[in-house]
Amino acid sequence: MAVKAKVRKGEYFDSVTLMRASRQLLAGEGIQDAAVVMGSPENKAILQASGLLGPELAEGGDTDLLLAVSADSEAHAEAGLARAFEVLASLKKRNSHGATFRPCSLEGALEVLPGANLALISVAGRHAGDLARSALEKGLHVMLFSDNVPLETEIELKRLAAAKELLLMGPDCGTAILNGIPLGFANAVPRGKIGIVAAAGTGLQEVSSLVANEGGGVSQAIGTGGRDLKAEVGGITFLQGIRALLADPDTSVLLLVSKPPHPEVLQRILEALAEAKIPVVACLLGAAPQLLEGSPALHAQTLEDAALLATALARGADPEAATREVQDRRKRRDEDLEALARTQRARISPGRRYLRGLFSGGTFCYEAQLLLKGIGEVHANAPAFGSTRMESALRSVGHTVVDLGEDEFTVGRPHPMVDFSLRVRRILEEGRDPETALILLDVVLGFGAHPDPASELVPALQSLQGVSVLCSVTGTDRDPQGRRRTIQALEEAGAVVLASNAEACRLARRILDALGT
Amino acid sequence: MSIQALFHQPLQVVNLGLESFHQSLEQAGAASVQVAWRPPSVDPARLRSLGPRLDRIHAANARAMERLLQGHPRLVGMGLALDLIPGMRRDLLLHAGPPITWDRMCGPMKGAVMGALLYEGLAGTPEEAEALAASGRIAFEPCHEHGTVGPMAGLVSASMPVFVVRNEPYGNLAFATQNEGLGKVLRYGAYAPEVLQRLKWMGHVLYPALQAALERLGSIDLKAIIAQALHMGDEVHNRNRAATSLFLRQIAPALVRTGADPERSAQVLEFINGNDHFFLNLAMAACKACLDAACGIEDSSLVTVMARNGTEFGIRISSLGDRWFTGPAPVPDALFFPGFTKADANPDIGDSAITETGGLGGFAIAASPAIVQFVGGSPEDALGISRQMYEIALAEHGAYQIPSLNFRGTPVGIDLLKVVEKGVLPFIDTGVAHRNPGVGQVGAGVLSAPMEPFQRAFEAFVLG
Amino acid sequence: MRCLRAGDLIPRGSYAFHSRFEKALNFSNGRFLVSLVTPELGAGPLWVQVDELDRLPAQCLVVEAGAIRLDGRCLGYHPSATYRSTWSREAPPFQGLGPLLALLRERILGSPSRGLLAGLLAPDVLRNEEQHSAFERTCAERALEGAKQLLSGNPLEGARLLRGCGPGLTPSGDDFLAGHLHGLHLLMRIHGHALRPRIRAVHRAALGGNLFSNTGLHLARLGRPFERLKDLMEALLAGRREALVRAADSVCALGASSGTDLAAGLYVTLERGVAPWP
Repeated sequence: MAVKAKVRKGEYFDSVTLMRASRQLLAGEGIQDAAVVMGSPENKAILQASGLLGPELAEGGDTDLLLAVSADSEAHAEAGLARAFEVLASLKKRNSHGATFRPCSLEGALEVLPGANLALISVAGRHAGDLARSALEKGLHVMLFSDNVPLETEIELKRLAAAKELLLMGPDCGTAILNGIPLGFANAVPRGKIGIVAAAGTGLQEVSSLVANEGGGVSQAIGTGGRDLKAEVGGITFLQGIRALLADPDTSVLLLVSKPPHPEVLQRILEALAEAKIPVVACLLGAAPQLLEGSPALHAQTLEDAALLATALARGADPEAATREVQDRRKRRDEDLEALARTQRARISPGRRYLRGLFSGGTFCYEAQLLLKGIGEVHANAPAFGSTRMESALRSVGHTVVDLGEDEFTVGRPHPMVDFSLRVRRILEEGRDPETALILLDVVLGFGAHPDPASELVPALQSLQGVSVLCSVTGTDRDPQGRRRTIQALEEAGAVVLASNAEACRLARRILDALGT
Repeated sequence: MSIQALFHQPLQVVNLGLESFHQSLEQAGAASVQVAWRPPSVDPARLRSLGPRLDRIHAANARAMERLLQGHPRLVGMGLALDLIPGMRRDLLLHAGPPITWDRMCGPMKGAVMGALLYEGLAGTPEEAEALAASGRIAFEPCHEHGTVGPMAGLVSASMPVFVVRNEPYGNLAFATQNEGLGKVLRYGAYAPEVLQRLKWMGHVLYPALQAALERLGSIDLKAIIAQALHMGDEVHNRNRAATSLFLRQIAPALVRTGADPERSAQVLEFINGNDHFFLNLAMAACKACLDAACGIEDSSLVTVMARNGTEFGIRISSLGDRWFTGPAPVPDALFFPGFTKADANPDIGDSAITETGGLGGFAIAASPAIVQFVGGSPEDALGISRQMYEIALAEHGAYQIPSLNFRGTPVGIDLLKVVEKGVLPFIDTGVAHRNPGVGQVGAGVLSAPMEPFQRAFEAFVLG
Repeated sequence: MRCLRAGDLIPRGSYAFHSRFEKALNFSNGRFLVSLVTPELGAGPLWVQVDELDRLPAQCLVVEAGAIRLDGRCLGYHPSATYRSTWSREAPPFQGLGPLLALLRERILGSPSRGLLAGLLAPDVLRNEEQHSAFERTCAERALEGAKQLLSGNPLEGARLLRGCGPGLTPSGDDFLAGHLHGLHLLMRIHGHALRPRIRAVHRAALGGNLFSNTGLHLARLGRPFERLKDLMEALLAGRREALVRAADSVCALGASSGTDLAAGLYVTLERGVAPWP
């Protein structure tokens, strides 16, 4: 272990800057511990106790800044410390004149950052296509978060990207993780051996978080946008992703997430997979297992299964062992769920009999409809698997699952993963409805999402009576919101928190069965 | 670079849109730059429609820039407006900015018109002058349409002496009057007797002395003076002190040698010395001469004129001939002298924006930290502004450099298409006149050119 | 730059430029700081709230009877635009703190800028949370001990443990101590205990070399809160839940964790009360 330290005299940095510098310091490669603190005698004593007080810090006083790191090697410690100074300098420059100079265009940005290799575009859809084209023409890969980009534009741009061997992730691509860096709405997930290609943002968030929580890691996670697998687009990006990950030496398991592709596109995917030298798990939500017959890919019925299978395979299990492991686990878990179902059943006041699923992630809403098939008529604003289309998305009828990320809710408003006001209001409404037995919620953490979803939901949950609330929390402990913290707050407020959306739906089903609905 | 290659490089991201993504990237330790992106000011479909023409447009702009940057303005002589300015007449008054009629003129412009008529002897009293101006017997035309430029109200009348600037490689000429100094002066709309007296002195004493000295010298290299002045803290729009000093150094010996009367020579030297803006008119003429050589190039989107008359802001484009494209002139955001507020300010006025059009003034503001502070900013702001101007410029100047940007050439050659596509407007730093005639300067400030003239020019260019 | 409101505790005199931040420009007389602040920070007893901070270099702030001048430029201060940090003579009727303290605790624990010391309110949370670094873990332990001592019969020892301890421009322990002193003033008001000697002694023990912290402690010793904190304390006394939530959230949002540390100090003091001393 190597310790490096330095004193910074004569300048003051505000606490937010210090906190940012400290976080960046801690995230550095090989860094085991770090501190960026004022040089009070007490702090020095604490640094001493933590083994971080180098002799360089001796002359630091109350008004000086002390920076100290311990790392697994001298080189890493030096690099970490140097990075801390860079961070302080850049943050200070920004603070010292408020609005720092910002380039006004992609061209201007490339002057400032000539080594740029990715453009992340989230401007209004009307303009996003032109920006993406510009970026591709300049040789940058593109993540196109914006939606409302015309289909023709998507096709034209994806062809252009493919011709230049560049990635165009999107449009409507909300999530990706490249080189360990979360892009868009993404979770803090450790690097590892599982490579993901996903046509669904929250789907990617769910599998990557589950992989992380199972102790696995992600090499790369490529998003393709929701329309990539349509016949017209032909799966261009999905196929690029598959080929790139199959050839990537750091990927030893390939995990695919999407809704069932158009048959022609599926054909091309299977052809690409035929070359695979690593195990492949495919979660084509709602697809019949026969679709993958003859291909080396393992079929996963739910996002949870996909993540568990992939993690087991990455650990070295062979496909049969992995499949068995996941099945055994589910069986054991189902016993716990049975018990939970009974206690929850007891909470529900007489006369209440319907499920109300209020989702911020479209994929979760979709997966829920898949898993709830057969419980009776299900109403949905984005119907699938035989659900009935709701007359008004604002009024729940019978069993209802609502995707609050759909256009009718998001025009002119921030996305429900960021702004909880609509969902909280809806929770209270469902609570007041005497027929609501069960509320199902997805809580998505990670970068880009609301900084503290628990604080928004807890007051609403606390006011509910005679209703069972099931939450799935998608996220990791390294996420800014803290997974454990969020779970604890939700549980204290009376919700049952499950490890995944699939599990929450399975529990919901059992509760409804127990109610005799 | 291929996707494989991307996997093995540190991610460096350009973020266009939600700022929270940029912050997350920084928190995660990736290199990221946030773009202050704004949507185009014109219909993106119209921008896209230029696709087939783009190669021709780039080639045309390259030709235009070559002409602009090869320009070498020299002060070669002086004479009377009537004798030298093409199309000048006794009943014609030239003014700053795009065309305008008497009834729409702002206070300072009207005052200057009246003063000019009094100076010419066409009217005996202010009331007569006003009546004459409104009568229709006097014609008003923009200086720019006669190869001339004037600061603030920019009035040029037949008997006024003018500098002649020649653009060496191309031989075209540009003209400007002598700068009167600060305070109650014609260009701020003052027409009191002391204003006319000063103008008369400038016509009878200053002009002959300078003309004789200039004949003796042959010519004065204005490009060289401007280049040096930028290294000395001038941007030659709002701050001309160094350039004026350099000019004075060059002309003083010749003034002394050719001057018949030492007292007169001394007065001339004192006058120039006491007027920190003396060089402004020369800087303006120098830019005018260089930009004129880049006019008339088919398919070029270069902006060749930016000018204001206190009511409207007008621009001209190289490939769009003599057409003016206008919009209302905004009021500058200024630091006002004690006793004055924004309510007293006149909308933007003067041909002096020709300096910005030529890559100086606001485009070189990073060279002039003193001016920046004077207009309420910090040196870092100045750098930021200059940097932004590179985004709408076609080139970097070869001769005019900014020391604090590592002697990088100033951004020069405003591209109409970049302005409307990026939504970034040319930045101008300028003096501010009182809205009432004759009061004078009430502050100094900054403003962005308004978008409307550029949108109109774009429409014409697309049809073009 | 125009003055909106000036605090009521700014002594007349000259102050030299000390430091500049995005929302505050600080001047010092060697003992404490007087600051020009932007409107978002609200008002404070030693603050001059201005409409915006320009970026010109600043050297000297001069405070006189009817005028405040920055490098000779008059900021247009009018005596009627003063922030009063004292309690109004008509104190709202006290209604019992219990349920409101629980609400305050909830707001502190739920705040995204919650720092180490907020964990004092829920020690199990502190334990379960992924600690960022050894420094923070050690600091948290020391703070826990310090808080215990502070509220029991050893306030001076507690102050010494908390002083200067923790991350931030104003170390978390200092913010906590300031919150504690404000809490003691509130207890005096509610119960009429004679706490002044304790307040003075703890203040003396808490002073260090950090001028930022010392300024906050100085105001806490005098019982003169900045506006956001005053709103919080008034909401507590008056029993107004909505107002308490708003005020608590705005205090907690200050700095990286300074606000939550201050609020934690206030909360813990009110909730547990103090053992007699000496």
